[in-house]
Amino acid sequence: MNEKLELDNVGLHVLHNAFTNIAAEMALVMMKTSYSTIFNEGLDFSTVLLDARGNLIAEKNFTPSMMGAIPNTVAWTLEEFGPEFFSPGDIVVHNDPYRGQCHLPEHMMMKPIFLGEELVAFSGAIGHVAEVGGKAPGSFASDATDVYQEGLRLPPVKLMEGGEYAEQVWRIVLANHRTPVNTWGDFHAMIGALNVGERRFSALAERYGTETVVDGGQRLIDYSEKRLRAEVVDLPDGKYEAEMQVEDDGVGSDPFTVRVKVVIRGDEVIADFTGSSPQVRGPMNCTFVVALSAIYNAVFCVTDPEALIPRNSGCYRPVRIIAPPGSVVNVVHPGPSVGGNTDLQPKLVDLLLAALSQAVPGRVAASSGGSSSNLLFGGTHPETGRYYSNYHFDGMGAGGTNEKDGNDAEVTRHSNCRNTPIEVFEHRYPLLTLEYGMVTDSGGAGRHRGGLSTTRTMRVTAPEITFSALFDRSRIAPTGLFGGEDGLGSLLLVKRRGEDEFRSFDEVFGVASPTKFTNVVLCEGDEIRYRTPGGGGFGDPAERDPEALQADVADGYVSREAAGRYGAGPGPQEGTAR
Amino acid sequence: MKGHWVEFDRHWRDTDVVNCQVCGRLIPSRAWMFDGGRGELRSCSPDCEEIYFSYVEPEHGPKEAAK
Ligand SMILES: [Zn+2]
Repeated sequence: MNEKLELDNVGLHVLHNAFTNIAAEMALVMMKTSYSTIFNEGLDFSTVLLDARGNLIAEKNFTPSMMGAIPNTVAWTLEEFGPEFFSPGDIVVHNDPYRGQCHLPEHMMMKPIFLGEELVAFSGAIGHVAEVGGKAPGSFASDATDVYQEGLRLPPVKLMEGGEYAEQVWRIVLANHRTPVNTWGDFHAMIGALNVGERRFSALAERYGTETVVDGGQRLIDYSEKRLRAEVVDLPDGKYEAEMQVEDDGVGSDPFTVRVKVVIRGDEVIADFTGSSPQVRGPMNCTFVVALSAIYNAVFCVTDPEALIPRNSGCYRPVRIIAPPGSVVNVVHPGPSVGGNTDLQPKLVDLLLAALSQAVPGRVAASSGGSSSNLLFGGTHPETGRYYSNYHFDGMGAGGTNEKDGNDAEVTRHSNCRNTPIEVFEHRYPLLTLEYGMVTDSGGAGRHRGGLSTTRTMRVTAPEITFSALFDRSRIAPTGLFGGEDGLGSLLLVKRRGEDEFRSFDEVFGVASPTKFTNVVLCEGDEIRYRTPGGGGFGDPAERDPEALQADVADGYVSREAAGRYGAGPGPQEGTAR
Repeated sequence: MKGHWVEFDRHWRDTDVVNCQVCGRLIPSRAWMFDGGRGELRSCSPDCEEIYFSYVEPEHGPKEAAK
């Protein structure tokens, strides 16, 4: 016997909360049962419910970088294979960057939810799998020149068929990942989440009736579309352009260009990337869905920053994109793309906000650090004798806004991930953390200061570890806005055992880029030190509240010397500011 | 809209993917074909015919036909 639920505003609210709680429980399952720190500490995943056509109904613990991929992965799999491809108990996995995935490590799993004979919804889980093979441990080769060097590519294939293991597929996957035990655990964490999503959705349909639940999902999507369009209508119509240079692609040392024209016309937004550089040889290219995520991110920042509108596919409908295939914002086969997701995407958001700053100056931020500062390492653990591998990122500074200073030590604005505590890190990997903290003066000066970046120094405690890195913003710093100053760029250094000084990796190892390199071998006693980029400042530094500046100096956020850059600031430089 | 759908007839061993000439999106199984002024364009949906004539063509000029 169903419980009656009117689909009025109250009923829809009840249903929205129910859907979101299902997605939240799925996220908890993934966090609590996964093996890799990137899932259970970093939370680099999302769990979702989608309708029978792949439209997003609800999400939780969302990593914004995945917004473009989630609905399209399911919708395009449906388009390619038809709904008859799916049977009860199936789970399909897919990480193909040319078919809707963010980059090769991102794996999306989808499970059809059948009620009786009818396919009514999907539960979905997407996450950055820490090790997927390829030329570098951690599957993040910053000098990769094609997708085959980046790891194992899976088109949409069934991992589970009718509830049974599709054993042949598992064998191929596990033979090609360096840490198959982790993959086994992490894949099962995702599968567990999907199963919980399926069970809870079915129970909800049992309680309120299938028709009510399915119809309610559609009405929520329509409601969100209506509300987002109403926000877009309030933005001034026009064409707003911006352009940025990105320092290199990991293979060569030349910068490349991204151009965007944001067109606001009535209740829709178009992001047109025509005129951006052709796709580059190295892995700094974005996939189509990554560029899509960036524009969704920027539009939500200026229209609904507190996420008051239920985030579902309705919010995506007013947003359109033009991303020329074969350009840096829409890589085509066989171009590499692993860094496009982590290190071009946050800068795309900054670029889009820079364009939108001409339309809504009070609602945007200066550039964030804009680099995930990816550090990858692996080897044989001296204590266990087993192969390990890790994908590590750290927090950077966010850009200042019209309202406040940028957040400190925050993992990129497109990821919402968490850092990994030192204790967990040292327990799992042969690296001793000697120093970990925020960097004084790394935030760009401004009426509202850029957020501070972080620094970490670690010593190798195993006979050898293979390191790779993909850091950006080392030569082109995060930019300030409306007179705010640039944030401090990133830095990556090494000190060999017995030496006194830290030096750059290109100087010590002869790699092409000081911050993007693959498979450098460090030995016991060697130390690695890095600094992530700081956020750009917002507004004229001379307009900064003197009390806020004094507090910054007292807290060590701003040095006495640098306080002089704020004009009226305290300290020996007082009165001598530029 | 003046275009029409064309279904792809592809064997599973064919691993190529096709993108929309207007927006860049993946076209998994069928294309919306329409005349863009310089021959037929391969797009992902009627929406892309609409945006082509309302924005892309006036902004950037007509696109070359699909190969
Ligand atoms: Zn299209």
